[in-house]
Amino acid sequence: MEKVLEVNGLTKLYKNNRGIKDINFEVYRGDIYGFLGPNGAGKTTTMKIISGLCRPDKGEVRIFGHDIATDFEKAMQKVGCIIETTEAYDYMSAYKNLWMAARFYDNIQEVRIHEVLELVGLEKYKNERVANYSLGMKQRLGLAAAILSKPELVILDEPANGLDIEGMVDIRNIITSLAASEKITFFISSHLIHEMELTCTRVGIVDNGSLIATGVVEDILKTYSSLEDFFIHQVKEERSA
Amino acid sequence: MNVLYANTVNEVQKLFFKKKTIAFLCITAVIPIAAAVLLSIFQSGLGIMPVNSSEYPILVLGLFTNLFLPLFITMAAVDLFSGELGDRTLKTILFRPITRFKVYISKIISIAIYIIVNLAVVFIVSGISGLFVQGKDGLLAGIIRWLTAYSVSFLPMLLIGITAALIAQFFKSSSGALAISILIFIAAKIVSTLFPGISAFLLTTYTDWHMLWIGSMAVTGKILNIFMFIVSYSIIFLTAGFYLFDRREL
Repeated sequence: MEKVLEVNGLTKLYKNNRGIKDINFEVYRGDIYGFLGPNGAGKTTTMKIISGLCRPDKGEVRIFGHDIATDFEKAMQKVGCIIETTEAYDYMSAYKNLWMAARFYDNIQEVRIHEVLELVGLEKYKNERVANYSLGMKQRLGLAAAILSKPELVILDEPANGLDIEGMVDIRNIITSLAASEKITFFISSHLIHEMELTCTRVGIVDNGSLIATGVVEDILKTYSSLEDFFIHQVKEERSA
Repeated sequence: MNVLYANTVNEVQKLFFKKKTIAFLCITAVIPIAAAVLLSIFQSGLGIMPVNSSEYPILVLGLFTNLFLPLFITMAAVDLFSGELGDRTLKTILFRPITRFKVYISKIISIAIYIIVNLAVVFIVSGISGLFVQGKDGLLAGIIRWLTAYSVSFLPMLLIGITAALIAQFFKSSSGALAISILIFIAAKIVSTLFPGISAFLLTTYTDWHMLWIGSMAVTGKILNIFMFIVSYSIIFLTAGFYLFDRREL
């Protein structure tokens, strides 16, 4: 299987001594990889380092074989991201926001912008200023911007955060249908275990800054009644060790 | 599309999509007209002619380079850096396939374009409104002087933009960065007035260096000296600003 994302020995400690320690994992083409953990476990720090928003103290990140520290443009060429919250220029329309994102890539035509707006259900509101959008609409716009360039890897940090049940189901359906129809590999962080169980094919469990377990969701569910059981078991084991 | 070019287009678009940018451009256009009307009334009433049509755009340029343009440029620079950091929109650029160096440079280029647009507006409006001021002697010959003065004003204004971009790196919101930038600008103006000995080292001293270019005395040595100061400051502040921008963790 082709490695899309490789994380080797990633370490970053903040002044308060929190952060991440020696994180290692790989994401393969076609995965919907869930990065699971409680709040403050180090998920967002890992995501930020992977997407170039902050630097590690140690370790390396390779995306499609390119080291992000030395070959950032090539590494990010086929990547779409939403990190923490989705933010767009709220004094512009969704359409203009997407046009600005489109300029970074070759061959994105107007038709693709309409296509992604349609896909996330915003085509009707494309000319409205983003300032008037609800949180769910902004999240969907973020997803549209992330998949605009037809990326092969999409990195989503807490994509369902702040959404109501309907919004969460929408985002889940969009992710699973994109994985199937556009063959996109997803790397998703979340603390919503049930959502991850319904969405992901593989998971990594992070707690207290360390990756404590990884596995294929289908295999995990053969042994445990739910992903939540697996999570609690792994965390208890780690903390008692 | 080349990503440097792409982000420069984006940055320019972001600047000009903001209502306040358009409002400032309108103010930029209105001030020379209002000043010309007042000057015209004042001159007619007193029967004296302190300024004629050919001098008017130079007078207006002095007013703008010393007061309005530094303020507008600082606001634009602060908006593009700490403003975007505060709005959390900066990260939406940083995880695109573009290096931080290119992001920083494209923002500086867009500030340069903003300066050119502002200078062009002041040039055109003050040139036209100057026609309402009495005394049309040497009007045609004056145009060359105007062009020279407005063109060379670009450099010190760009230095103001680069400096504001550097100051913005220390702040996470535009209000703090703007307040400190303005205070530094005012302090530099006061210091250069009170202590002329050190004014040569303050970048605010050079905001009206266009006067050297259009003066009657040959001051080539002084012009070259100031040019070297401006270029040196620009390189130092650009490098320092990028260093801080590159180390910024979001």
